Amino acid sequence: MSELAIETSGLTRRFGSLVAVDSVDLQVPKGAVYGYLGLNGAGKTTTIQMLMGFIQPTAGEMSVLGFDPLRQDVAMKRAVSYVPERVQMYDWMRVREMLWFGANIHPFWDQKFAEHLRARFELPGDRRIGQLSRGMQGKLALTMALAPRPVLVVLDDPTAGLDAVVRREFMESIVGILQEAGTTVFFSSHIIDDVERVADWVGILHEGKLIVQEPLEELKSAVKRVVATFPEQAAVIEDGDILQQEGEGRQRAIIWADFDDEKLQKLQAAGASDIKVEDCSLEDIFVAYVRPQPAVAEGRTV
Amino acid sequence: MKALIYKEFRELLAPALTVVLVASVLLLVEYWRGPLVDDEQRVLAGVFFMLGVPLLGLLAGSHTLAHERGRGSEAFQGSFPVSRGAIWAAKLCTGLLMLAVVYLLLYTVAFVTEPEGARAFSQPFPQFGTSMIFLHAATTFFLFCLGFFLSGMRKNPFEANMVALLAGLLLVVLWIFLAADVLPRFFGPQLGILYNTPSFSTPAILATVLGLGLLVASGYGYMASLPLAYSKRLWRTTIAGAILCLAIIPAFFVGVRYLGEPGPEDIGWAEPAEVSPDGEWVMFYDWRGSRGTPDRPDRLWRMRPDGTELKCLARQPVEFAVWLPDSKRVFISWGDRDANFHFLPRTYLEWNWLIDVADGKATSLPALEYVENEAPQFSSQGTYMSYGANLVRVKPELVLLEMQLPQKATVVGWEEDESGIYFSYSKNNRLTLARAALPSGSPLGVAVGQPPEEAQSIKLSPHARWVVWGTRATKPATAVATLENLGSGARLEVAGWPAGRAWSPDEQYVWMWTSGRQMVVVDLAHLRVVKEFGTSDFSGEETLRLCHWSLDGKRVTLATQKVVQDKAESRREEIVEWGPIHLWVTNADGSGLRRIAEIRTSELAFSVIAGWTADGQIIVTVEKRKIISIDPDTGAQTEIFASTVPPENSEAEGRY
Repeated sequence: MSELAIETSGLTRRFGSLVAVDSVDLQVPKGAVYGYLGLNGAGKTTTIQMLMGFIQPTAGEMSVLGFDPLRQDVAMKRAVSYVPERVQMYDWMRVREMLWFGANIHPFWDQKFAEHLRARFELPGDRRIGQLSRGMQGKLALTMALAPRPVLVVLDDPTAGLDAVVRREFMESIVGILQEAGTTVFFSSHIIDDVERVADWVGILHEGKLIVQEPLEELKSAVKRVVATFPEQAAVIEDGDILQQEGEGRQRAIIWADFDDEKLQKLQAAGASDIKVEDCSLEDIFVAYVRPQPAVAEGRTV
Repeated sequence: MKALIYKEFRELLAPALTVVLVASVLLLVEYWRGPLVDDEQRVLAGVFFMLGVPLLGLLAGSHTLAHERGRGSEAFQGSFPVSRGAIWAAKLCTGLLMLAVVYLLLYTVAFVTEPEGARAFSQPFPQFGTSMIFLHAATTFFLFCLGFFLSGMRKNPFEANMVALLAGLLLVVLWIFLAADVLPRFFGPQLGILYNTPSFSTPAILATVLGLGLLVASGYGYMASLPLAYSKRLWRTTIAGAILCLAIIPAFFVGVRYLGEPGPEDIGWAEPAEVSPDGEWVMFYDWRGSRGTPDRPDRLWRMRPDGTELKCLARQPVEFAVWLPDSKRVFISWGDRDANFHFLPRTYLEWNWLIDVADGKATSLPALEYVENEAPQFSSQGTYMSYGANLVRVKPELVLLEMQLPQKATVVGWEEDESGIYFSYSKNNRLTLARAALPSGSPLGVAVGQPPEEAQSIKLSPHARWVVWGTRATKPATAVATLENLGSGARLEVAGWPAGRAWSPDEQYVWMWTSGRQMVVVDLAHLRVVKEFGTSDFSGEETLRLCHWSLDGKRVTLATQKVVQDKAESRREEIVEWGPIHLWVTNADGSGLRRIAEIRTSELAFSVIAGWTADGQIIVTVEKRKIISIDPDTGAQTEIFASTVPPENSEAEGRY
């Protein structure tokens, strides 16, 4: 039995001439909290819509908990809960009515758990959904997603539109509950702090391509920020693992993937002195991956 | 599925209840307080209902899915473990169910509050009946489904609604053509829409182009003005577009003018009256100008012989109006070939109806091919009707009997118990009288008492006991009328051509007028001529004689008139002089002849004398302006109806 909750191979979706998702090979381990990072328009929602069987891929294959999302979508959704971006429920329904709706539409609905979540999120049962705040609506959506006790939860930018305080509270709620239940979580976001706070796996999608996919701690330990001083005008360091380098005059700052001793010696051989190697935040890493290389002063290359 | 249906039901409940409540309140208020709008507005309301409801059904179907997408809840709904098919089925079934409930509630209220309430649904459309209601409902249901699937094919809710709207507009045009032009060809005009627009195509095309142009311009103009989050407000475009469509359609397309319920004050010329077989009713036409103009349709009226209970039975230019033997119904037939009237079909068909004399309700009969100047005949109990070569079973199913009569066959009579039909046809230059069983049409063989080879003009007595025909000899030029008993074969020959005859109700006597300007009275029981009238028996030179039997069969009215015809100038005989009509009364055997009235008129006698009433009065039309009742004993005349409206072109015709 596969240890992967989600697995795709060459997943591609085109809209006319636009390639929204380009040969993505996702591998989401079971039990992971997988943060799917990307700028707006990177193709995160398109990927999720394909995974949920809403749109058909132009090419590639995909498997969610062993199900084919296109042909086995109903069976898949019995084990997978999905909360769309800026979820819009039925404003005229009351909170308790919505829970009744969920109980009558989902075969594995756990009403006690649903009531437990409603109480934990302090959702007023008699309030109409249209009268709830965005944060409360998000919590209700999360309640609807978790009450069937899914094996996998897919959240499409769950904190979009929420202010910072509510966002933090919301994400912590997710983490707390899901850690209790041992559920696999796949969530997309463009807010790096959210991902860094709760995810243990990270995938970075840029212009439709999956450019990074690994455990968060491994990523953070492999990518380093290196600051070095050169005896004269700094040379442009040429290395396939350099994500970003900037600086003027004799000093240069480099973000280097898979930084190791060999690369340190290469720097020293180029005359660099006063070399400082620092850890990067996820935000630094993300920006380094998705921002185009800034121009550096012309000079010799090493 | 239960949850999905509940959700759809709750979302549709408010609009459905609103429609039902508004319509019900209007109907109930009208029921208690009288009409809220005048008749012309009511017609427009009816047209709006007829055209608008199917279109709204289409929009509702479209909106069911488009609304889900527009507000963004489709993805949420799709997150549950239910198939798209189940979601669509729940929407479609609930929508159709709610639509059915709306129809049921509306019509329940309408019919409970009948007659006032039901007028809103029935009055604009003549003979708007159950079939039309079901057709209308079926159209709405179909369009709901169509809108739903059209919308389902478009992801963008705005596009979905626009596609549905455009399709709706085109479908309304199609609906109009169907209702006005196609359906009446197959089902009769009770499924048509009342028009008075003489040329339909031009305004229809103009309205279509204008409507589409405005719709597209306003819709896309509105979309262009919207901010990025436009989707939530798109329903306004939908509604605005729908109203635009609906506002255009009645005004440009239909051009209905409600003529109002006619009253006696509208009657211009009163055409010849005719008394029902039981003598309880008198019917007559009226018209006020040239035939076939929408503003001045010919109409059919009925009243009691004393002039009371006047009611308009039909507002069409009627070709024929014939009493059924039960005196409870009138057969009418009208065509539009010379009318340019309110129905669009230009086929040479006769639209046939049975009208209940008491309440004026009409039932359609199959439309038949045009038969010039030939009125239908009914069997003794009114079950069958012959109309040219067509045989129609009048009740209970109103089915056209596909009886293959020989070519150019003429129905000459019926078995009294309606078990068979007599018809004559020519075969090998020999006139044959044949019989067929009803309703099967299987031949029963040649009738007894075959006329000779040279016989012509075969007629049967009403009870099918006697047959009469004429024979001519060229050298010397003589004509003989022969009467033959169909049972016994007994014959009586009378000199002269049998130009006309009047059988007594019990068929004990027949009065025949012959080409020799003679009138003979035959005692059929003894098969002998008991009385002969010649010119000298009347006032002078009358050339035209008609007789009508009283209902009890004891007396006969004779009408004589001098008519001078001249065919010198135009080959066709032109009447150049109408003499006064002299009205005579005799006993059944011709004895006791006396003149009771002289009627000065410029009409022929057969257009004037209507017949006997049940209480023994004689009804006469005078100068198309008055209908009078004459006492046969005293000759006293009583005016029971008089028109006060001068016909529009009466001066030009010099008749008023």
